[in-house]
Amino acid sequence: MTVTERYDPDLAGTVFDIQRFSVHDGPGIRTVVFLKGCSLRCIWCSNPESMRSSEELGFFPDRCIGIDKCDECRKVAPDPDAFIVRDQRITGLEAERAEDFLECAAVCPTNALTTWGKKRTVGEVMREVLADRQFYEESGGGLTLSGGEALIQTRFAVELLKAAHAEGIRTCVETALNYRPDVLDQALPHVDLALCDLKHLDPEAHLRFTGVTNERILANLMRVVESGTPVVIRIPVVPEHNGTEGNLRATAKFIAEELGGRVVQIQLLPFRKLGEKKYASLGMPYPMAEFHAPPRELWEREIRGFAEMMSSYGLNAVGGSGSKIPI
Amino acid sequence: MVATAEQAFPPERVRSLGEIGFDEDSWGVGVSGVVAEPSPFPRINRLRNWFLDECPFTVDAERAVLVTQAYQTHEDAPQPIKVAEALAHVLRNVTLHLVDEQLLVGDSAAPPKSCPVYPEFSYEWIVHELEELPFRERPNNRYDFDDETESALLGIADYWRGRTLSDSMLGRMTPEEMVGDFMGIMLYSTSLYHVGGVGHLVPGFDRVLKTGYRGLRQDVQGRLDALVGDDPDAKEKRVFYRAQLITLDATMDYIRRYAALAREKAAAAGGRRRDELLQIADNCEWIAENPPESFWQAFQLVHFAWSLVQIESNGHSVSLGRLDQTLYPYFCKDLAEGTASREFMQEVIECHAVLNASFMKLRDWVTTQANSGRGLGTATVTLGGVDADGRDASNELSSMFIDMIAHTRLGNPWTAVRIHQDTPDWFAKKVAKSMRMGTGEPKIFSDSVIIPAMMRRGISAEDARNFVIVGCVEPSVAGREYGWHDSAYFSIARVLELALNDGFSIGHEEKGRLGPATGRLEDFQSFKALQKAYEEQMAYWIEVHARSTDIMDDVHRELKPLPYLSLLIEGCTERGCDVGTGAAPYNFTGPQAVGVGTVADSLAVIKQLVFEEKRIGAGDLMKAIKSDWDGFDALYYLVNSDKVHQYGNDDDYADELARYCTDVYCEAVEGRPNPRGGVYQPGVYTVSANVPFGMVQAATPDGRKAHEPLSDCVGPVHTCVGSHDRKGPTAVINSAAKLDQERMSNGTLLNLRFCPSSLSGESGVENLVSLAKGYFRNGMHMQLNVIGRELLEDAYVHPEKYRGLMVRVAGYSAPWADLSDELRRDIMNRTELSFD
Repeated sequence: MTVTERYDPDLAGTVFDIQRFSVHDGPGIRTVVFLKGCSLRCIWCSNPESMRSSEELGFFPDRCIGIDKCDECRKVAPDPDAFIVRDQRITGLEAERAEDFLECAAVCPTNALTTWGKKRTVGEVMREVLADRQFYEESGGGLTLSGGEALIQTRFAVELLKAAHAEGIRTCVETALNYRPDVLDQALPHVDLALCDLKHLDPEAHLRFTGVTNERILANLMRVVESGTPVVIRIPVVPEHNGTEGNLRATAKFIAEELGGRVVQIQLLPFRKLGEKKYASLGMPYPMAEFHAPPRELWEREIRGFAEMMSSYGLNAVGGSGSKIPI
Repeated sequence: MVATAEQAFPPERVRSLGEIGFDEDSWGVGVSGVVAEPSPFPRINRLRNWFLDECPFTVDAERAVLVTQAYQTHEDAPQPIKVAEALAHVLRNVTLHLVDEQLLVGDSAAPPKSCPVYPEFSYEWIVHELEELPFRERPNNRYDFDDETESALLGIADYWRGRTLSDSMLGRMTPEEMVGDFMGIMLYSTSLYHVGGVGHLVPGFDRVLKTGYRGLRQDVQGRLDALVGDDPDAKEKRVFYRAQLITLDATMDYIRRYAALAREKAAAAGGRRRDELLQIADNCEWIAENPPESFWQAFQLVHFAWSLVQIESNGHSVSLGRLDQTLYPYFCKDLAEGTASREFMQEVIECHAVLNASFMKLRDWVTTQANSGRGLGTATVTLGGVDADGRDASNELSSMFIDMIAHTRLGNPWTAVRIHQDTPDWFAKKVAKSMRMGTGEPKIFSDSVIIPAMMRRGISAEDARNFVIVGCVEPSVAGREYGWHDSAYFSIARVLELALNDGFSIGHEEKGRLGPATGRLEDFQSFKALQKAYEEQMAYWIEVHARSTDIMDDVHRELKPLPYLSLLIEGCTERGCDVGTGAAPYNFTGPQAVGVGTVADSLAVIKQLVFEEKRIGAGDLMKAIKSDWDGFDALYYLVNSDKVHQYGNDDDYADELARYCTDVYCEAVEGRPNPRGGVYQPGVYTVSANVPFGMVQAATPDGRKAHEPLSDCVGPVHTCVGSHDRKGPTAVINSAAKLDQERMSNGTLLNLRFCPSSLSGESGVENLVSLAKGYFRNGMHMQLNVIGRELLEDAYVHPEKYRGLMVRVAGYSAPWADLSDELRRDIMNRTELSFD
């Protein structure tokens, strides 16, 4: 089923983070490579830096120690006056091309100025992935591609998957499935487990919450299942949005009936109100700013109830991503 | 943000394990001592509550007074006789205790949770603290005492002035050795063996289990009788054997005294307790002379044999060895013959935990700042691993000792599990479930790294495969090694400071040049020139520190022979000489390097920013550290940022410098002869010594401010603006694994702290096992703290609410409430390696 092919180590893509010792994104100990760019705009997204595929400049004024003590960024800026300074601190930028100021982030000693995303080659990424080989071997882990949308930089993602297989490392992809079906045809031969996000079963609600409708997503999900690649379905359960009895029951029915229950696990991930600072750093409004999340314990209890309900359809539904994946 | 108590630790989380179920999946993750009534045995829960709540911490004068009397009576006797008579006088006269419901007996020559005093090692500090800073008024590690105790302790002060081991050592040390030691700039500290006993070994319990004390006595008597001639050698042996006989007779009397006490208590007791007390009396009566016949008797005898080593000398870390092997035949026999049930033997094991926890050591105030544990420092039980033939040795008893950890959560005795390629899955998982509770127990060790490391030092394959862990970190051979495993802490960060500064210590310029003149950073033309200076300073200071250490070795041998311990170390009775003379088959001296991360990151900053990128001048960097970064904010944040190479991120640039700075240290230490016919062997760990060593050192180029702790063990740098490791535990592990750990045969330690969520569930257990096995391909030893930061933050504000909360400090676990403020902050600042 899996295919080993030669890969191009020099192909570059935009990566916004590499997280080692990830234990909740597929089986075992894994390294998750987060690729930048997403084809959805979920209002509950906690990684706004992952949405656009280009490199971006982020501002964290709290971290700035002040231009009286450190003026490194303005020394290398194409136009030092473009920075907005308040109480001696850099708080933002007024310039047409923020990309021209990326060097300023490179010299900032406190990461008050930071770059979201970095061009990296397949070879560079793989060097870091391979560093934990012994832990994958001991734990049955490997590489997980995530995002953003893991497959939106299709060529780069496929080369990474091929590279991992060529090195004998198992692969997972976390995907929201909103793309042309041929993306799957290219990727799936190199994927050992697909973590498929399912945001909402109702097309209109899906459009409202994520910016797109879900027809293509559901068709792609079917395609993954049909390919024989093991599937875990992940649902970020957001109260009052998709975290309703009605939606989750409809989802369970869809999986049981349309997909024939052919998924190894359904993970209900409790929504947490995170990422507010990151939105601010990018000068973006936080869509969930007004939303009051229920207390953690209460919401987790609710989710355990949903999992039980979905399990009654003969499915393996669990709360959170910490349960063992039965593959 | 400080979490409120209710958020962090809602009362409903304190549940009895009985409600949840005692099986290992219910032990909890990161909850440590906050579970109430963790044992399935009501007796153990009551003993535990008594230990935690009712029994006060005190200082006791009885041992000190008895020892003084004996020294006065035997003033003119040869030293071995004098110390033997002192031990005998204590054993025959000290007040005995038998705690309600206990199944085992044997105190520390003081009441439970009370510190006996050892005036023969050092006494001036005790007098000083009694007068200036009484133990009962300390902010932490407080010990109460009454006026009678105070006057008894002050009453013997005159006698000990000028007579202690410490006084003798001070008389022999040159100013050069003193200026480097703890009484000077503390580039190294020999304080542990300077103020107290040596310890750090596992007695050969099998010797006494096999023949009983009577058998040992017959052997000694036979050898004494067989001695002929009057040459000095024969005379000396005669004295040694007489001293052994004095301690043996007193030992047997001492155990019989407990038999009498138990019988006396039985007379006043009723029902089942009466039967137990009578059995305790019978056990003691029998094992006072004879080899044990049951598990209960065998464990009782091991405890006596161990506790007497501690009454003779207060050395740290006298350990228990492989009890899952030593006691296994008795366990099997009792089961086969139906004389004891598994459950009863489990109860005995748990009773031992409470008894063992009752042994305390009084430390001076300065030491408690850095080493806050109250325990002796302490007895480690080694479990699992391979046997002498290389086959897996784990068994049902290994498992029962892990249950003991979960059921008692007292942090005593310490436990060390040996992991190897064929460690059975069930055992590895059970160990992981214990580790993730967050008590810090057990610590785990790699057979595949330690066995070759020991063989490299000339230890036989069979002995190496049987290795035991002594105290915090150090591998040793039970009953065959006198390893002086914790001889000194040695700051390679201070060595670097002198290498940057022409042999002067920053902040101590008035003392003049202390090390060789090796030039200043401002004058070095290349990074190589700095390396040369570092290497020269290292060779010089290792030499000076070893002279200090050898003086201690001489003084311990001359003034504090150990006739009782010598019964339990192979070679001593056989050769007719004390363990201090080098009679054991293996003799080592093991100093530990402190500050690996600090030096690696400092070197990386200099190499990258000064010599390669030329972003900063050497003069500016030196000015910055001399002014404690004042006025150098941008530079301060830069060196603390991910823009420079830092150790702990699996970054070869920095990791190679960590390897380099430890290689230079190992090179200087290893193979140097010691006075016992053995050699020095390097270790690289700090336990918690990184805190006091940091307290006395100026800022360092890695971005550490003056007085902040140095880096911990073989871990990365944590400064007050953040941790230098950013890539999680596998990267830290990979960095540490690049050190030449096989060469660091006196031990290494990697501390990792996890958030509970990354270790929860079945997959959490499996991941923890995998993480350990991954590290153990090249690494020796790792320990975990698994506690949510929320809980720690609340515990910081309200330590009193977290009674029984054990945290792994480094090398040992201690109750959170007993830690000094500095240590608590140090622990909180370690990175939480978590992914929620």
